[in-house]
Amino acid sequence: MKQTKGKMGIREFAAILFLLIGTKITDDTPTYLYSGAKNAAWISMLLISMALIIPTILLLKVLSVHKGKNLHEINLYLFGKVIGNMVSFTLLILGLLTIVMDSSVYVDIIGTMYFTKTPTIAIFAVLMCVSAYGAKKGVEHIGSVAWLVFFYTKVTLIVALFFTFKEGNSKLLFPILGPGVGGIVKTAAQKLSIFGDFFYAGLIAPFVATFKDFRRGMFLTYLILTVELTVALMLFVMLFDFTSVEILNYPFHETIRYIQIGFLTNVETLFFPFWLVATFIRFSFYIYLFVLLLGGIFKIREFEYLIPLVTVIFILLGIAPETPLITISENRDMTLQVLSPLLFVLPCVMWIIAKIRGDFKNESSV
Amino acid sequence: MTYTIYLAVIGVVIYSCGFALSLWKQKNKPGAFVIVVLSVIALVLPYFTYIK
Repeated sequence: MKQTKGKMGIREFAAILFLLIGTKITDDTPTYLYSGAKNAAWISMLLISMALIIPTILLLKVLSVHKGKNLHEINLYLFGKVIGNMVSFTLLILGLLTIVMDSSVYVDIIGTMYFTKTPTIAIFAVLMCVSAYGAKKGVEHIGSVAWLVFFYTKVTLIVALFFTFKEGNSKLLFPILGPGVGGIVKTAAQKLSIFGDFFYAGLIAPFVATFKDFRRGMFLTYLILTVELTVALMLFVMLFDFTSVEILNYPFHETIRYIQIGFLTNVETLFFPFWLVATFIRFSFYIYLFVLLLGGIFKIREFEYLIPLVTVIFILLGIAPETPLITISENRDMTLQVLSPLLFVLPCVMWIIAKIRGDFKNESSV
Repeated sequence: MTYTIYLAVIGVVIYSCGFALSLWKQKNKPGAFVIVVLSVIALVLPYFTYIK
């Protein structure tokens, strides 16, 4: 199986980011926002987006003067060999934790909501093996598949959200500030890493056809995803009220089980296949990023040969918790809180060091 | 099921050790060492996470 070494266009890159972050609304991410900001979780989402705009711009600025280099190579250039590798290794470990916990959550969704009689290990094996196959084909293929299914996943999401709006009650959004400004800001500050994938996307910057495409793709997805996630968070509250939505682990899946399209019931079977494909793409991309970073740190050029090994480790770590709902949600909350300050500070530090080194003087590739 | 898991893990470990060997021959000793360490982790993990 040969990997293609071509480049991605803006369409493929944007589609990957849309599926990567857009699917977060369908897992247990909303629960973390609702538990802190109650019915004002959507304002927290807006604050997260606003807070991360500066680090994202700074990251793009740094990437713009190091065209052709990925995030790890820029880390090495800016921080030096030792600290640069340590920064990348920290990102790798946090990435490992994210993949293991996210995959556990997705397997739990599939196992508790759809395939209740299938053993967890079987669901895990299928999910990760399909994702590993996608990752092995390379980022260009992941981008092509993401673009292929992008339209269908978004249409089904819009249909689901439309019917949620029809059945929802807008009065449940009030009081508009929920637990108060303090609670909203605290939740937003702790959950900044929901948008952390934008930072990790720097790893594939050299794979996008031009830097202009990369920058436009980032801004476009940033804007649309902010609207998408905010609207979805509002609609879940409108449908369930915050007292219920707070204790629902997977509000999106409860929503598609709840809504009816005309005389059609059990419409979750309409949404599930598209969500599943989006999930495969998401984990394919995560595995690819992980081996790319691992290969970068240990100078392994043919890093795609690492995919089977890391996939086995992900599966074996992912099946460890006996009660994923409790164990994973606690650990995932902690990981989000650890990642949040790091993802906010790191681009700023990178920009300051690049500025001190004089990389921006002629704005040309260094 | 346990045997199936171990069989799959051993297959992947053999594949990865072959890659580690090729890295060793290319003088990338840290890379080869990391793959061997990951392979050992993959071999012992089922005992702690699946069999228990």
